[in-house]
Amino acid sequence: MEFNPKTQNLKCPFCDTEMGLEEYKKQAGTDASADEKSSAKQPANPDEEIEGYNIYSCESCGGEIIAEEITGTATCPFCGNNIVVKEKFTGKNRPDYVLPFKFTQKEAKTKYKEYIRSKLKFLPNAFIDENHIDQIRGLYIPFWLYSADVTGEGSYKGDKIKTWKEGNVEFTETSHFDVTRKGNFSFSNIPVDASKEMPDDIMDTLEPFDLSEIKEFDMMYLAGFIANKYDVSDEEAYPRAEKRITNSTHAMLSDTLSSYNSTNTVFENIDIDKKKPDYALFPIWFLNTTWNGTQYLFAMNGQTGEFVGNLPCDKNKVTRYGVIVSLISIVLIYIVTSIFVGM
Amino acid sequence: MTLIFSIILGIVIGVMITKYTVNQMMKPVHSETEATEYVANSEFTVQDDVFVNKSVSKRRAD
Ligand SMILES: [Zn+2]
Repeated sequence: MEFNPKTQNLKCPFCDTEMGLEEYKKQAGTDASADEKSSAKQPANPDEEIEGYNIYSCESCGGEIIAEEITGTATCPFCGNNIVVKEKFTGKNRPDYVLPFKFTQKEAKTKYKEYIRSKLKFLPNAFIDENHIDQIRGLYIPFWLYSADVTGEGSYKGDKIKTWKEGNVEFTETSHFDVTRKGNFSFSNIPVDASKEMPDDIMDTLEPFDLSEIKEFDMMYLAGFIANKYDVSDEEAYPRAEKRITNSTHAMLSDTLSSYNSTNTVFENIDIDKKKPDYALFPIWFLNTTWNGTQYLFAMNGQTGEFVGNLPCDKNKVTRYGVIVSLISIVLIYIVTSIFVGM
Repeated sequence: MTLIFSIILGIVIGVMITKYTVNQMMKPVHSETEATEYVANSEFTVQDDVFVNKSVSKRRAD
């Protein structure tokens, strides 16, 4: 069974039968056959092994992948090297939440094709011929979702300035105020990616994710996809959320000072009461291609379709383009200046 | 004279356009520095504005 992003149901890749998640679970639970039982993949305790799922680790980049048991060799989505079984997937590695895929692989391929087509000008021909499109993979990226109660307070000196004229004398009146502000702010579910293999700025660019569609984690959402296991701990990832909370709290305090012409901060204090973050998986369509020793990637938000990417440039194509553009410019400038000089 | 001017300016423009087009090969990325869209609740408990004093200055308007 594979998860179908279009219908949010499970679909059999062979016979195209579709079934809702609940329905499938019910059937798998009541059916006593060994194969069906292995599909009821909800671990009851942290040590329980989840049948049919392994954690794989990449021998080259160290990335860890959660995936269904793979027969034969499998490759790392980040660097393309072989991955090997590290351990059984157990309840303790289980995420709290998952944001299901909404875009299908076909739609991701179309996006990539359009992207490639718009950049054909400089793409090396060999890169185009290699045609990497089938290597686009549905990958769940681990995130910490931080929530916090924040108290922000500050005292400021504020000036209001009034000017008027009497005859030809201009008066400027400056009123000084002591300004105090204090407020309580709560932040919920600020996502920070918990994957070392995935560059932070790429995941930031793929924000926002619509968290109203988040679901309690269920192994069924993994069917047909692979997931990256978190390798950045809660504590390691937190400074990025903390910085965002601090900046936003400061901005909210500052926004209340807009009636003043100028302000000086006497003191400002932002106190963050961080809660235990949730561990969630976010959907990304992902393609990483190594070309002449450099990595190029394409990553698409599996929920919204937003994407980022970079592509290799063919030096000869760039040079040719530069020469042609320069020649056209020279001719045009020569014609224009000749007309003006001739006048 | 006109020809030399055209060649120099033409090459400068050509290089600039090419650089720009090469940069377009990459969809730019950025880092998030704010979390404003994740504010679930905000409430100010103190908003005091206490007048201290004022000063007036005057000058000749020209
Ligand atoms: Zn790897």
